[in-house]
Amino acid sequence: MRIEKNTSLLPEVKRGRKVQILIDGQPIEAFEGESVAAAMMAAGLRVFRITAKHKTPRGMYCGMGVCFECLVTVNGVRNVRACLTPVADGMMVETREEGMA
Amino acid sequence: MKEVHYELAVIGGGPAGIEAAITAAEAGVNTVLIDRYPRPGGQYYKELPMQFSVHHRTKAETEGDMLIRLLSGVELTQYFNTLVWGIFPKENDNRWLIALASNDAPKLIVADSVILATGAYDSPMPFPGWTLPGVISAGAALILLKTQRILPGTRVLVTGSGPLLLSVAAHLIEGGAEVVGVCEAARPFWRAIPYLPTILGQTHRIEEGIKYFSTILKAHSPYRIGWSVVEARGKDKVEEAVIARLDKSLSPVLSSKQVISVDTIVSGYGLVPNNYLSRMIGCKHSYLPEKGGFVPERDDTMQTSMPNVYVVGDAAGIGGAELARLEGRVAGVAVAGRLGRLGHATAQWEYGKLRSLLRRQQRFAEMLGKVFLRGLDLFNLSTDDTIICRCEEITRREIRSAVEMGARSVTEVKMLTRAGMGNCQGRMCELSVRNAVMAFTGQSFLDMDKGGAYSIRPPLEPMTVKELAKAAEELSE
Amino acid sequence: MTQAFDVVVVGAGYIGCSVSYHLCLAGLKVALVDRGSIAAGASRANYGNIQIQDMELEKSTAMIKAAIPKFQNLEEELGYPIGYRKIGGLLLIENQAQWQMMQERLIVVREVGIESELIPADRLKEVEPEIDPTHLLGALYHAHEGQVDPFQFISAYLLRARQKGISEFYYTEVSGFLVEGDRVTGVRTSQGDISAGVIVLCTGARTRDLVRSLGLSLDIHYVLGQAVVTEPVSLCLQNHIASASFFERTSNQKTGQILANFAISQSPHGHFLLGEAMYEADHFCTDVPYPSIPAVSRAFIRHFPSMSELRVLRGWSAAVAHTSDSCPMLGPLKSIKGVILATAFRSTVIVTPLAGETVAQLVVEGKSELDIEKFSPERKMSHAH
Repeated sequence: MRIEKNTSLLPEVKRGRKVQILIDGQPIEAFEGESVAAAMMAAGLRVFRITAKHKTPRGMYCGMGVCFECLVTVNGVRNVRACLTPVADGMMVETREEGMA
Repeated sequence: MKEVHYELAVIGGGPAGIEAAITAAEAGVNTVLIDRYPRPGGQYYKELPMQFSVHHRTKAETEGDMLIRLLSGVELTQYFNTLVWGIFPKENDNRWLIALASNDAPKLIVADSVILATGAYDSPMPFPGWTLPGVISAGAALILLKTQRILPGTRVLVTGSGPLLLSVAAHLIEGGAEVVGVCEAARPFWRAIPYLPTILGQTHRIEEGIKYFSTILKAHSPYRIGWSVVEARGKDKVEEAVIARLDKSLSPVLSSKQVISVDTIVSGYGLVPNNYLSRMIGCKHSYLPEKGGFVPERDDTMQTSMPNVYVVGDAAGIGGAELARLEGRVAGVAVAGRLGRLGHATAQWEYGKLRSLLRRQQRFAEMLGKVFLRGLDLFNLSTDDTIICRCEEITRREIRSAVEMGARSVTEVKMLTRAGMGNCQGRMCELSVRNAVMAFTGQSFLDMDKGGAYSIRPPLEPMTVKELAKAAEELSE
Repeated sequence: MTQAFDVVVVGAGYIGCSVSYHLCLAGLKVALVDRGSIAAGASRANYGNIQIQDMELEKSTAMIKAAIPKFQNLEEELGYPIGYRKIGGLLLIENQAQWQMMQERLIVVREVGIESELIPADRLKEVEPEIDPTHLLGALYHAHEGQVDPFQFISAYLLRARQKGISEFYYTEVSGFLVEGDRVTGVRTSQGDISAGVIVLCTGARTRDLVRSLGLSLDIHYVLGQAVVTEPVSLCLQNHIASASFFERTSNQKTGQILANFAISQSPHGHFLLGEAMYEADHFCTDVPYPSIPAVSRAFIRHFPSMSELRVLRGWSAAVAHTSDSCPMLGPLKSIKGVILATAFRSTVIVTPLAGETVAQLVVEGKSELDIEKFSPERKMSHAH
């Protein structure tokens, strides 16, 4: 959910240009300046991948590129950290890729 | 080999790094500032993305903005979106080779001195269900709220220890989330008494704290002291949080358990110094839990045991933005002084000025360390089924089996279980593994110290063979 | 504080753990000492390959012949998984000079009784589907080599030794020896003295420095080996792979010269291990020099371009013992009694079981089944540094 109100701790922002990215083929709206992880969280999409061994779902955890949980495939490139990847119009993101090629 | 030379490389563009870079550059030191994120400020002074704009900033944000603005008035090279993937000793001299991965920076830099200002990250606190989507760190929540204006969820449990907890809860509430509870794990207040003078001297922090607290009260979010999340439940994502009171041994009191329906759990149990570069270089480190984990040994000019390598800010022990800035200045003065850009008397005068300010901040940091809890203090919240190494999916039970097979150090556990061998190379699990080994073997801190720590080697982060091969091409020119 | 044992084994790597196990099996009271933890030295950097690829093949033939069968029932004997799998070995050939050398090697290898074949480039993909044969003339192929998981392998020996009552001293540095008359009676360590009837040194690159205190200058040096490990992918490499260029350079090596011995393996867990070795005469360092990681990456892409997106997780280096005649040091010291060396093996895994057995025989019976005269530690070597 995107925050639209203006509060003392969170002054209202004007977001970047609106773009569209595809998550597993499903189009979602995003704004330039957002990370793929943030756009996914805003759209209520929390499962980023499934683990190789126990096949459990994982999502964003640390938000800053340290934990490697938010790994998705971006435009065909595997194991990209969604929290460090800025959205771009037409970007294709695939989730739930297992650990092994 | 094509190399670009600087007298000083500052790695990390948060408060500590910016102060270090400005101080040295203003004294005429040929300086480069390198940061892996798109903009300076680090975690303490979160900048909005370039594409966002805002009419006004909060008081706290303005302070950060002002420091960052100073960067543009100083002569120095800045590389953002640039990762330092390795630091290597330059053969036969005391200089350092810094390997970079970036679109615009050179592949290799030679620096006479290095100041590491790599900050910190949220302390992992393993508990049953913590790997479920929807369980995020306090840092992640603040990044979403402050730099993206996105709510991580609508029914949120905030759990952890320390001042950051209040900040996260307040931001969430203002952002429109229903904060169903705020659990502070420590019973802090009486331990803070010896530090009252220090605390009272930090008026802006007190102001902030009061503001956050009143926001929480006004929203009627239950604030509990001595409580913590003990379990996250859900199928594909978190749906319920189980909270409980903690007893003196920091174990959950079963009879106090409560189940709350949530869609998000924000977990903020302190910070861990981001020490992988200082460890890669070979600096001596000590394990100091109240500082967040392994911290480099330093003299009072912030220099480590390795020649011309300095560490400042949270990377050298958790202490907050003000302490980070002061340390950055000290190291900047030290480097400038060593190069003769600052006279000895001037340098000594600068140190003198900074020292008393440093002492006050150090005392504050000390208080935080003694009063609040970190993830590594709450080992009793994990069970044998809890995942300890998230990357390789290793449970606490597997660590126990490794110990039963004779493993007595984190490295042996790593060898037997593969914990620490995944993508994050132990950042999320090392301290938990150490805790587990200590608990299962009954070793003392000293024994554990003898057992060593994960050895950190380049590349600092996973990099494709293709990208690394590109560095080879530059080398053969 | 002095403790007393029958044998002190110095060095808890492959050889030291195997030696310890066999000595414990023989009923002896054993102390295993290491300045670090288990497998802190070259063994930790090892790929776990059971191979003869870069082994010296004149004097070592009998040893290799005796070594190979020891793996047949090893997992059963030890009772712990060692991650054993059967794979082949390829020595890639890039020029005529290497082709010539591999032809000669083929003959010798066959004499040892090892099945081997020279495969031309256009048939390489039959034995290694993922390889790009573009820059190659072909390869020397050994069909029946193998691989273990290094950590499981060492642990198996150690766990068995523990069941038989071994005492272990980690983070304990041996600083010298206790000497009485013409024999060594123990070791001095950072944790006190340990006395023993026999000391076995399995100390790899550290050996030369260690025996200096006995007034000996042994002709054993070290090679700095670097490697990187990648993320896991599904098992696809059919062989462990090295370069015939190693042999080309060995014949005219100089002290301190950088040599690239390119080595690629895939671990049982799916990680690719990519390596190189560098000769360094005096400078003992465990850092990874900057050029290594890019060089190793470049070499890998050259032959496996389809894998260029594989991510490297970490690199490391280790000092590996090296002798100028490429033969190990296996046997007792002659100028002083009570010390046996078992180190500087090349392709260590393959001889690990045999080395352990041999040392146990030496200690218990005073002689070994294997003829080890040519591996005597104090022997004169022709290309001495």
